[in-house]
Amino acid sequence: MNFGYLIVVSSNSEVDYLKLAYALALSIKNTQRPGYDKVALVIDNPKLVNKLKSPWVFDHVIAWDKETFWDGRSWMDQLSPFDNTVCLDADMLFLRDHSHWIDYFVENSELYIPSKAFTYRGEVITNDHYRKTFTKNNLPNLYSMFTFFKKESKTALEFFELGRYIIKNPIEFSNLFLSKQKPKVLGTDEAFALSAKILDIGDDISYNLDFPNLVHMKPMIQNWPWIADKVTEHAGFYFSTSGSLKIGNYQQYSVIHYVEKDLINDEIVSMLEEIAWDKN
Amino acid sequence: MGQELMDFDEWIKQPVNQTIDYYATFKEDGSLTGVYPSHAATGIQNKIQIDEEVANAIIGGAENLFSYKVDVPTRKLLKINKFSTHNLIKIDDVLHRIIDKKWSNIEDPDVIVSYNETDSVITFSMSERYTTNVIWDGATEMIFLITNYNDPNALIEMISVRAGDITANTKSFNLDLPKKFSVYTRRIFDKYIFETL
Repeated sequence: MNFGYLIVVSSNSEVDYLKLAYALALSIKNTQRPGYDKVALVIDNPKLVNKLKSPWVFDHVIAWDKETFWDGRSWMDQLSPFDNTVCLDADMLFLRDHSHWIDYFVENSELYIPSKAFTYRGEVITNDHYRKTFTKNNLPNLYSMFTFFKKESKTALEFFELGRYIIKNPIEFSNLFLSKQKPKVLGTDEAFALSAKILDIGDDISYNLDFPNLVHMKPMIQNWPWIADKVTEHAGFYFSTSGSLKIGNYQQYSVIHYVEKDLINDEIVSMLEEIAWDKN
Repeated sequence: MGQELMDFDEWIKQPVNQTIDYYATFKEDGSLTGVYPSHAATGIQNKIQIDEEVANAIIGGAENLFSYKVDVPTRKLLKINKFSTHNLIKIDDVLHRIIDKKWSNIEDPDVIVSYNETDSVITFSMSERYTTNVIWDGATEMIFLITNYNDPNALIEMISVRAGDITANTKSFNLDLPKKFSVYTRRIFDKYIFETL
């Protein structure tokens, strides 16, 4: 089986996305079984990778600068070197082995995007604070931060091509399909959800599964009875030397989308590196 | 009716630019009730003379009556540490992890926690700038939680230090701690640093 994770980053003056991708790749190497731990990085400046202490965590480094910021992820099907790929956002961490689920996806899916996410306390997120466009326009509630696809899949090809076309023509598609609540920015989540809706494949690519249990750390969807700017202003982020994570006093067991980019500092990177070095 | 003029030699001897003395009035618990020039504070019993600089800061609004209190037995004016009114809202204020010097950009810490691994001694000290400029009222207790590394949920030891105790001196405790541990505290100051010796 040819499987791997794909991370797409580009240079940004405010956020070091390479550092986030590096931490994610380390966490994948630290937790996933051999054969399920390949990581490909797409980056506009591949020379930067050689400055990392362990650049080997990236099995493939692909130079690509056609798009900036998150728009690059919509090209995941064209960029991935793997037959079977999970494309991830850079600001995520893996905390335990999920390799058996990859076998499930490879056997049963051509394209899969989860439709639910969880608070750090393990509650299903129902609050649509950041997703009014989805609820008001009846879009499938897709979280593209974890997207599985097969390269040979025609469904996936059609889906991504339409997604790219939507991102390139945001005003036209917003006017036509998202008139009840237009997004400020038509990002990958909205484009993929709209693509799924237009192609009428929402139920085929996003059905109820027990994985991935994505913990989404955007602050206003944590079921708190107060307004919050950051999750970590109210609950601590405690990453241990063994690679486990507590948020507040809740042990985390799944895949974390931590959102706050400054959480991954040099100390946490160093802890992830030491785990990786011990393992290898 | 003609005005009688003072003799010129007597007039020139009179001090012009007289220095105004200022007094702070206070309640029985030492809290301030007002700041007055001397001529306006006559007849008030609970008062102490204060520096013109302090008086002007309060009158001008740079500070307020709550910035100070009177130590009644000694009748001395105490400056209350401004950090003690810190608004405790964020988790980092109530449970602040003291970052290791190795990972921190802080160059002028207010409080330094150091651990001597060889002697198993943990020492708390304060920046030299607080040794002379701040008089502590003795009520600012600092609690330090020694915990598992980066996990305040697993408490190893709890240490209480009064801020006033480490303004001029350091305070040390013998503690046999694991190789890796963290120190958390309620954030009274802005900058804390941890170092291993």
